Amino acid sequence: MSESDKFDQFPLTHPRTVDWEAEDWQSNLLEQLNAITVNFATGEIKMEPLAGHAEPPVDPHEPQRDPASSPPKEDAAGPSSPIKAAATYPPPVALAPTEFISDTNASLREIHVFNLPNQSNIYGLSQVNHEIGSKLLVGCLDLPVFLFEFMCTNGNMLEPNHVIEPLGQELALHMVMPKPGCILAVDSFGKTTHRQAYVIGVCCEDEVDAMPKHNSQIREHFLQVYSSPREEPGNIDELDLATLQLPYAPFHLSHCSIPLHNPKFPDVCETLFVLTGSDKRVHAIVENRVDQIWTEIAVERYFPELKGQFPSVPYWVDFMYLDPCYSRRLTAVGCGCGTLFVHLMDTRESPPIILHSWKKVVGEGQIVKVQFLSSELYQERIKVPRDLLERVRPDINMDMTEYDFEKFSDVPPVHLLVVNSFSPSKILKDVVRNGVAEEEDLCQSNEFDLQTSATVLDIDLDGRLEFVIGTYGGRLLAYKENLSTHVWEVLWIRTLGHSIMAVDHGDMTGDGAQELIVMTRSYVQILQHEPKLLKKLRLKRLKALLKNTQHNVVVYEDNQQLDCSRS
Amino acid sequence: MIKSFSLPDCLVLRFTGTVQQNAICLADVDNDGQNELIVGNSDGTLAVYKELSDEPWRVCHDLGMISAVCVGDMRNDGTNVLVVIDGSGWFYILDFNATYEPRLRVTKETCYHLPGDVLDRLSDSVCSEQPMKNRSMERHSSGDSALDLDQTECLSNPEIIVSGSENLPIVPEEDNSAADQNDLRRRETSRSRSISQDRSSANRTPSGSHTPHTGPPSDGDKNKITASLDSDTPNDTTRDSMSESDTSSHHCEHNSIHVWYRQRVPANIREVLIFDLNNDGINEVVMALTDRVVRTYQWHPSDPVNEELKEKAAILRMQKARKHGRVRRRRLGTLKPVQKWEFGNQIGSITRNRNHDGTNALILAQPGGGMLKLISKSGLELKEDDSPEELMAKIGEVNCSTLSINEMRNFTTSAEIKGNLLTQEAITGQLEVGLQSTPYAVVTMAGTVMFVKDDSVVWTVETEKPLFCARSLAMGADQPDYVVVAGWSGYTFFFDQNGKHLEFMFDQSVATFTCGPFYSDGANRPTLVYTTVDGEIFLYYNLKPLERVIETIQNLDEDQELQELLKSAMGLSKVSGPQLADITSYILYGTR
Repeated sequence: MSESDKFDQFPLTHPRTVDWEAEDWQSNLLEQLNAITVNFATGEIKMEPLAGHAEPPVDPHEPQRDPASSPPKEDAAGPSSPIKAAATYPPPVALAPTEFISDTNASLREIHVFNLPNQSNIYGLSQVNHEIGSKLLVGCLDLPVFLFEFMCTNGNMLEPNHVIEPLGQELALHMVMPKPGCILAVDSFGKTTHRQAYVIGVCCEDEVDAMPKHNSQIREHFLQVYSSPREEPGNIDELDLATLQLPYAPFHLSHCSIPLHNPKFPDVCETLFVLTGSDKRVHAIVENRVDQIWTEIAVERYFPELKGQFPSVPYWVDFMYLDPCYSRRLTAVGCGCGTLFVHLMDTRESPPIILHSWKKVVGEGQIVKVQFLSSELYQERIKVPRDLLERVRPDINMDMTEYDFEKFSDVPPVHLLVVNSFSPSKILKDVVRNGVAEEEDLCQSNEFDLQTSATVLDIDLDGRLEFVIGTYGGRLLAYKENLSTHVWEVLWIRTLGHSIMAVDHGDMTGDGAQELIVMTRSYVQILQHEPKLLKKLRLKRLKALLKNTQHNVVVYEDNQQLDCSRS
Repeated sequence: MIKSFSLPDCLVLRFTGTVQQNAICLADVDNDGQNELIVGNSDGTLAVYKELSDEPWRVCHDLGMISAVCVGDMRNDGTNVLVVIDGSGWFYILDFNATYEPRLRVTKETCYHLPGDVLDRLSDSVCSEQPMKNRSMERHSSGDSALDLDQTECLSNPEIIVSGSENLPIVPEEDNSAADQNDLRRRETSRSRSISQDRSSANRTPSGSHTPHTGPPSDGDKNKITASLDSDTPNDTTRDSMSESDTSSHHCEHNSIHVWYRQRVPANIREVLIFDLNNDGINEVVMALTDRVVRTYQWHPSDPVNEELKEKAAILRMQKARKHGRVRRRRLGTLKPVQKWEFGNQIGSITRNRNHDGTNALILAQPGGGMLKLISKSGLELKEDDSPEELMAKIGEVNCSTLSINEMRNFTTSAEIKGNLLTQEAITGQLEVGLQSTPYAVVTMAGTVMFVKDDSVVWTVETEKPLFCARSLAMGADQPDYVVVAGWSGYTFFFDQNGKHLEFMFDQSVATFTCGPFYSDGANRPTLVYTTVDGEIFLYYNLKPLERVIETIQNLDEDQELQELLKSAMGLSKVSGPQLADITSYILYGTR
């Protein structure tokens, strides 16, 4: 992390703040696409060529919305049902008897270690999508960005019986800097149109001899954006580069999806970079698709809640949309002084409207990470395979008018994990309804040196979210909610020899199961669940699922409501 | 080929002081089949760490500036002892062997490995109420006259040495040769022994009882002896007072260990090995000195026949010595020099290696990566009555291995060497006679790693990192050795015997490095040991090579039942990879 005090030396020339007409680039985007389909399960959007332009786009992933017929529900009692609001977010159908991995610490085993030539920082770990699964993007402080992946060695990655081998490579990114600087943050996301159309953002720092006579150096900061040239799957080595000089030291580079509010495509978004800086502000950086230039725009245009200066440097920003139409958003900002800001936004309009705002000082140290978690929303957003399986779940309500913007009765509890560097980390419960009032300390979380990172995942596959906190003292702490007392308890503590810089999770091996990724000061460790255990669990659950599905199918067919002719 | 290492388990030990590169090793000092970590610093503290305890199992203080440690069967009796060399030229033997303990007259609580007879004699003569002197201070101040130790030191120290020009080591009872004599002597000195026993039992009370993990393994045996001897113990109050003064000194730490034997050797020793260099069936102590000299020594146990005479003489001398306040102990063995070689160039390090015919050789690494080999002439029978000149002629012919690449090296860079590497062929037992030589690796400080077999370079790798140490490490029993080299900045390279390497970065500055098997979690496991400049030892135990194919649950062929299920119930006759991943992901995370 670079010092923010250097920032003062800069002449305060802000970059050109582009204030395009929103319609320009948004409609431009829409024109480019024949049809956009959103897979809300993973938050990804796919472009599929459409046969005829007259028809509204058909989403093969999502059930076709027919205003005439209500979503197929077993308990569909008509629009006058008093429990309608609650029924909008039905709990996930419990298909298999609750069976999960009881000892996750034992079943998690190390499958590979990628060595790092030098250390990274807490913003140095990101993932890019692969054909299946994902690759790991690591920005080291002194050397270029590394790409770690598991390569298929026996032919086709798309075949089920592939054999994988670890591969680490230096990403051939063209550094425009005269001298190799250091990488401060990396982030990446898939373009709107194709998950393998990459956008990679790299924040770097370079020392420039400002006044050679005085032997003084100032640091220049850049955001380099590498993106696939077109809306098609690109080779990761052949990316277009756009460089943006930053008049501040960059901190957390993340991204957020912004709904385009096209009535035809209520769930289509554009993704833009959100960057926090040493000027204690949050910046939004967006691509002009016509020129393919990345430029900073006024942050209040899409994030009015992030406008203005924060009391200290915002160390982490997190967003979460509460519904599949991107109509309500939670925003959390954790600052270096321990101040936490949480906002609830109505994003139906542009710019969005702030519904609620909360501010609280949480702990004494820096807030190093904030992350929303909601087991119910998580379950719903799992990508449903487009086969018979998807009929087991009621359709996601895409009708914005049914959402409750007053009392949020349709919103399941969303908790906020606040990782503090040396105070105990906290979990704020049900922030939509409680705001920041109800907080709970995570016991033992500050006993192992500084906490550096955390990741939220379903580690024991029980359908509920757990999270793992990594500490500089080389410990991984897994927390799980006790469902009877609703207290978050330590599930296990695992000791690593090295200081942990970042933890993450993702499907590195491309088999559908999530791996835990731990980045320490000298290596990246991939932890995988015991495959035999997963296979057993998969088979068991699939059997139960199919049993249940057949039952459901019968019900649907009786009601004559299920339209399974989507094939 | 190892693809990567897993270093999940790390133990950090606090050990202050400078540790010399050869003053750390992983070996089995107490002959229980479990390897310990032995580390000595320049302040004279030697610690032995056993299993995964962050407290030392045994500690010994005031050993001078420890420059080298080595563990081996130096006495040729089938048991390992620890050899410690200090910078001022003391050669110490520390014996952790549990089998020796019943012979000792004093239990471990007092930690005096005194032979019974000496203690018995002392018990009459030595005045007991003198306060303890600081032993280390006295040694340092007296310099060469350190041999003149007065009585108070004798109490705290098992080495009781008569002044004189000759290096006369003090040894407890010899285990094998003097066994019958011990019985005799025990009978003779039963009265005084009981006194000493009383002393030990009195001593145990103030020093407290053992904690279970640090207690010696043979605690029960010793207690038995104590009990049997307690029956006819007369009361002696002077012993009690003495034991109190003992307890007050730092030598009475429950985990301390004392020197079993010591002797003067040349002062500038940098590395010690214990093996049979001249192939006579007896292990030698091979020492590399900083002044371009290699010396070998052999342990000569005392002749049991002469022992009786010597003992009588010793008693006489003892009586004289009493008047002068000095005593002399019977010696049961001594370290005698065998050979000395002087070289034209500085010696980087030495290693043992095996020749074609299965005989041992010593290989020296010299600046620039030059190598010299000391091999004994095979076929000549060595006799006991050979004069030194004859022995000299028979053994230890110096052969210079001719390596063409020697000239290419920079002669200002020092070099390290590690030999006796176990090859895959040796493990599978496919070697014929004449092919039994072991390869060795030479590492220069400039970063060159050379792998040499049969005196020709097999491969060379330039790491371009300064390297200071070469070690070997096997990933388990019956696994070939890896060459492990390390640099001060924390770079560690693992080379397999084909030259493929793997890099590991230790994220601190390294003072010393070693690796080898270390006992943890029920077995000797490969372990890396880094000593930092801040006085910490990092023990990466339980090193796991990750060379297996990475398993996923994507493999359908092994999961016929799932395949059937997908086919029959879902109509998916052929599932593609992404499809299966999607289904798996949904089943695992979307349902419960």
